[in-house]
Amino acid sequence: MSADDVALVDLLDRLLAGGVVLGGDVRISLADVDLLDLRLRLLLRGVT
Amino acid sequence: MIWIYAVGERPDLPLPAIAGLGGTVLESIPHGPLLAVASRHARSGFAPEADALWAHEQVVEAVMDQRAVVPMRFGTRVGDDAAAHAVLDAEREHLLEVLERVRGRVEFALRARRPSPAPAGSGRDHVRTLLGEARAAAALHDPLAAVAVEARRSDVRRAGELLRAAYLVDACDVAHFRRSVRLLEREHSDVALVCTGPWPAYSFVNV
Repeated sequence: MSADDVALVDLLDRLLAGGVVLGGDVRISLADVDLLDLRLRLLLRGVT
Repeated sequence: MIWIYAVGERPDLPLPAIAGLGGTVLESIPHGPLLAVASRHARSGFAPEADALWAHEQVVEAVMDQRAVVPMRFGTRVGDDAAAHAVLDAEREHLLEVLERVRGRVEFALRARRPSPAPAGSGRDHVRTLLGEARAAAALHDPLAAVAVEARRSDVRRAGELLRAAYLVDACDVAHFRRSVRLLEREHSDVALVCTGPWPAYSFVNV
């Protein structure tokens, strides 16, 4: 994994599970985060 | 649709010269002592793809270099200016409180993993392994939490992962924090540590 890919894991954790939600119009759930995390890992292994 | 990247203080300061999502121009929506950093789009949203995530992040980081900010979760958006002012008004006290908490502070992320997790054995072995891992995680987490103003652990998500945590660190303690991570790396050579940051305080803005 490159430094950017490593940081992307932490970026997902922060942008999709952290941060304030204003107005309640964010349609991303924790399940989506896990899904993205999984997709990212597959991508990094070149599986997709 | 108005996309909101962050809410900050000092609405009198100009925004950083950086493009928003899809190359749009950043806009300030001032509201009393606060401002929302935003951009306007004809589309209804952006999918959480790497490019869009990094674009959102770059805006928040650029604003964070100028003033205290509360980062928004990716996907935070409102219909129009009236809606933006309405949410800023409704959340005003909360946002001011959070700005106070994160001012002059940054977040670091840490993940610790055992490259070769212990093989599954008997029930008793399993319990022993779990206890050992809890101790190992605490041995990594506690010294870093001591340097941080606040620390949060989240659930580990993968086999062999010992620790997933976030630390809110005073700007003046960043060098100390990094030294502490390097020291732990040397002391725990059987564990792979990944530390990234400084990040805006994403993990410390929801009380």
